[in-house]
Amino acid sequence: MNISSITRLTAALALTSAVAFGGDSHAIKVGKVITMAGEPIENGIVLIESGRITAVGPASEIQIPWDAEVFEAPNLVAFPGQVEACTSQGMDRANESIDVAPFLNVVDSVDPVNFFYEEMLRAGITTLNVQQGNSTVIAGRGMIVKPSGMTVAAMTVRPEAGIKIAITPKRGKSRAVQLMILREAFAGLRRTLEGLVQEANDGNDHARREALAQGRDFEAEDGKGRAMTGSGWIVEGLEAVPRASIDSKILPLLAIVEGRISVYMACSTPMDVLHGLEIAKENGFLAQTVLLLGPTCWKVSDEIKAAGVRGVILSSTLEHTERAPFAEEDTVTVLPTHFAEKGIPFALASQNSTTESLWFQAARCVALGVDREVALAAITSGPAEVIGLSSEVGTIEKGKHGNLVLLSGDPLSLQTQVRYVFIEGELTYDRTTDTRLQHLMDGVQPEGTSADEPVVEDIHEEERTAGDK
Amino acid sequence: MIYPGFLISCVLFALASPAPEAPKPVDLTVHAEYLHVAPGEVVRNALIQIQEGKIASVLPGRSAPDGALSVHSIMAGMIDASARVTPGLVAVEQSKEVITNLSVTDSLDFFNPAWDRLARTGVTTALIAPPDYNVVGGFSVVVKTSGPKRVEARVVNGASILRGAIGDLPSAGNSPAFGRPTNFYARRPTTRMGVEWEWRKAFFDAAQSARFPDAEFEGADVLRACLAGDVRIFIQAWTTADIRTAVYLDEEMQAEGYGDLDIVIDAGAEAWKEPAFLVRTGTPVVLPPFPATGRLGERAFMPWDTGRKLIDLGIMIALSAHGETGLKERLSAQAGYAIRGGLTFDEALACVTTTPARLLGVEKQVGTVKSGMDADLVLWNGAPFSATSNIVGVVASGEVVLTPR
Amino acid sequence: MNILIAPILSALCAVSGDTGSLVLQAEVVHGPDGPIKDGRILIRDGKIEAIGAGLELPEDGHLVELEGHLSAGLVAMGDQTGLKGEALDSTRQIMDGADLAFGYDKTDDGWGAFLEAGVTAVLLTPKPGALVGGRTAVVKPAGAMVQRRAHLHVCFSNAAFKSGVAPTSYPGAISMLEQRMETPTGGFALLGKGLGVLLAAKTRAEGLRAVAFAKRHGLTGALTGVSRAGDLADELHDAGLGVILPPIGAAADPRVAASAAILGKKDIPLAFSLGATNRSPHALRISALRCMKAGLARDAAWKALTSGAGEIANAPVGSLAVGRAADMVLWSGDPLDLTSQVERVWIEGKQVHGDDDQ
Repeated sequence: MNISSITRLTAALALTSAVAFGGDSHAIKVGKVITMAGEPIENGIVLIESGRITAVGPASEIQIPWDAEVFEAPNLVAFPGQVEACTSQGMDRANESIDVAPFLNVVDSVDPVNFFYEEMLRAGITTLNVQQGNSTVIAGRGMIVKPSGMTVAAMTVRPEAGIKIAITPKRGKSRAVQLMILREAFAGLRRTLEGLVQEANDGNDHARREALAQGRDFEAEDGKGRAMTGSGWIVEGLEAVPRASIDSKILPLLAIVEGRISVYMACSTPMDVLHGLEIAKENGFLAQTVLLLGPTCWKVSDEIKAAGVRGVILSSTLEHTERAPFAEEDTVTVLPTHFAEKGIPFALASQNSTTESLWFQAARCVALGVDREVALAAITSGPAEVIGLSSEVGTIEKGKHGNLVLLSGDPLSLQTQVRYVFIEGELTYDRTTDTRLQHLMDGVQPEGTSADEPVVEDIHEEERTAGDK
Repeated sequence: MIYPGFLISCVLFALASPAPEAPKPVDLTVHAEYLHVAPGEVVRNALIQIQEGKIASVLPGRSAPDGALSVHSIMAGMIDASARVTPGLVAVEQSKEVITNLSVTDSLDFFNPAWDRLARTGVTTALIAPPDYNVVGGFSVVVKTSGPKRVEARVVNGASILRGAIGDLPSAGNSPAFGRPTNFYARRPTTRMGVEWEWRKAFFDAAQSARFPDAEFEGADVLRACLAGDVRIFIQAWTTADIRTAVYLDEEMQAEGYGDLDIVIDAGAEAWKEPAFLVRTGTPVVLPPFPATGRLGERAFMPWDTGRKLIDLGIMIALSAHGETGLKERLSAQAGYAIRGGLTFDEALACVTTTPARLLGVEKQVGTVKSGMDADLVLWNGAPFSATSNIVGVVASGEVVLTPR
Repeated sequence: MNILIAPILSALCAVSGDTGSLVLQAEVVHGPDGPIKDGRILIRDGKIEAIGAGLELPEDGHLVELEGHLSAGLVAMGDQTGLKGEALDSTRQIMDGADLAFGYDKTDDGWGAFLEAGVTAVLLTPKPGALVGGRTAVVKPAGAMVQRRAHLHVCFSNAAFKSGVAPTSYPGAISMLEQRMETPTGGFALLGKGLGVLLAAKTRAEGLRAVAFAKRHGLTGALTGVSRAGDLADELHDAGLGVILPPIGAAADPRVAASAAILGKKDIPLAFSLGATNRSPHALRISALRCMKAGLARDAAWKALTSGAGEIANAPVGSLAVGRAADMVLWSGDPLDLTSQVERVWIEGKQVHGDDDQ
């Protein structure tokens, strides 16, 4: 062998080894790419490198890198991984019993092996905003996860993402008490901050010494004071107080008031919405508020639009039926159509159920008269925007996470199956290896159960064959 | 005393009862881009003319006249062979385990808004049965889901259908007698085998009464009619064990020479497990609604491809929605799920129109959109049963029950 | 008891014995043919001998001039006052031989309220709870029994079903009734021979079955308990049955009162019941007025409170016709005006309620 062939051989070996060890580069070739950011692309290719999309386009225009792992699926349709805008499943338990607990964090509660994530993955949902449940007044901080990974760290997409506030009363409370507690939480924060400022002005070092004794860090940013910013109310002179002196139990509340964290506000009645908007405005977090609406809240859609909240998430009940007491008529309001007509962008929410997953919600929206693009956006780019991740997920565009779902057909067709799911470029779900789905959809009997082949015992065979009657 | 209640009901229907209001001949014209006349038969740009509650004519290749109702697709009004709209416990007599002389007709309440809601989901004809708290509950009745709120105006004369159940429900709530029994629940069957015994005893006794006049008992004539195949029996049997029991009952009666029962399995969720029984006896199956996780009543499991499997084996199947009207639970959604599980569109259409019509013995009146049939139509804004289509109109006996918005 | 003693004593003093006759004159007398201005009623031996304007005063006649309106006493259809705990016997499903008359207690305190409301006849009915609860009776409050067996009470609602006892269902109940009608014995045998039928139901579907049953067997009587019986008007008319409406309060479903108006237009005999024992008898007039507001003709409403109810009750009550018992009420104004009060009440010519001011 001459030198050039050895070089080539070495190069080939290096190439194979790079591919064999699963390099960071992927090329997915499909029959159609629905990007949700423009026209669908026939015979498209999506290039993903280090988990991010580097290029999307027709096969004729895209150059596949030499070290890319190519995935060929010429009969499938690529669709952005769907985004679940707010869920409280997949955790140990949805809420603590304490009413105001902003110091909690779902990172301590998310359960990577919970069945919920498996279900989300097989439905094609690749980004989930996990928040605490609605049995609270102010709950802890949530996080955005992907439904794959054996540890919470591996699942994390964005930590500290949003906080849940419930206007709908916690069980056992009346609305009056619920709102009193909520208002008092912010009023208490204000009093505490004012107290701290007063202490600092008096030259009183107590808070700082207390924090030091508790072992809190006064390094860098935490050691400095910072003027309070906020569109609702501010406490003057807070720059004199090092941030680390403020009790960590109420720091998240300060983040809310300063507009640094999203608030997911659960409202089940129109009355709740109005109260919630008022409290949000008073305390300066209206622009960061995402409303979780019950089926009757459409009645205050005008107020919602005027308020300028960040977004609205509908429940899985798409139609609201009212029956007037003495009339015999049902009045039906179609929620997605109503919000679409009012020009209020909305995200859809799924329940963990095969018949209520996001794509089905979107399909029912189309059935009820919503424009197809609006419905599809409500499960992809819409919720991405609502949770503040529109630069990362929600569409198949350069720079975003390589989250793709490969479907056997149109995303809104009853007969379409989710065949493969890629999360950040990695093949995470393959239908052919999904035994649970095979049990449900294809009637494959689980191993070890009764019989692999149905036993057809003919106890009357003797009598039947023993002469005619 | 030959089932007096039932006889009287028959007489009632036969006699001209005081009509609450004379039906107005409503002339209605509807138009569709696609008219599904019957499974496998599509007419393009069809104009349907309706007179006096019946389809007068179907004209192909027409455009919609001004002001007429025109939609994307039209199909026949659906028939639910297991609609379950009854007042509950008070619709079935439980003082005897085997009741053959009563009909659920006497418990129907047409003022219940549930009928309107059901009609608006496109189900225009329904089989209503006595609830399955009894081993044999009495006769079922085929009714129209909309129309004048009078029994005479709503009952459709079809096959004579007796109703019974094998499984948990007829024995649920019964307990063995402790001390002195204070009511009849103490002597009733408390297990599945007790329920099955009641069935076999009923037919055994009926067969004896045919041979020995002294052995005649109340209700024997109906049971004899069942053995002769003149009365069809709908038996609810969720699990494979119960379906097997029902089929064995049929075969045993044949083996003993008592007769040949004509049975249909209702809510046969596990019919897919041991279909050979159904194939060799030619027993049709009415499937219950598809559950999201597969698990159903009485711990039965029904995978979504059940429809496909059974049809491939040549078993006649119909779909049912148990009276549910929610967007995701209604009969049209069940047809969609069946398609997702592998049925073709026409097979699914048959499962909610022509097949249940045959099972109920009303195929000459409903189930297809042909001249002379009842004017029962479902109007869609897209392809029927698709996830992105919705029912936008329903016509029942020529009256528009749901108006397109 | 005390409520009645005083007026009875004063009445005995006021009236000149049983042998004489009494002539009452009032601003308006509501006679069987309509209101009579400055009308007079001649009462002898507790019965009405004559009624009209400008009646001649007989020699032994004693004239009493009254201010206000004089009318027949109202008839309440369907009540369990005085029966105490005996309004329902749940030991058997069919008790066609049980007469509610046996449970009538004329000394019960509750009767006072009836007189205060101007009610002079009450139809006692059993509480629904058995398929055939017994035979109804017509009584006068704290007074005589007028009709011992007015109707056979047959219940078509699901209140008649008990767990563990046949029948447990509608089809079973109808079958049981049909069996009894095939070879009628006891109370069933008397149906059509002076005994009417009182069909108790709650829902309209139950009402339809009840009416169909009555038609099948050619029974006369009335349907009671169905609020919106107007929807069954055609069937009721065809079967020749009357309707007893449950009490209609001020806040009731407007369709209920409208239903009564429909029945009135079809000339179906109407009456009002009281339902439960704690319902004040004043509810009768309120029900009538509610129906008038919804379109029931004034005449029909008045008839429903008086003579029409009497007809349905199979008893000679509710009318000031000649020969009838003198059961009368003096109102401070038009009886169909809720601001009118009951001033005096007479039963069989004896004043049993109200002050005596001559």
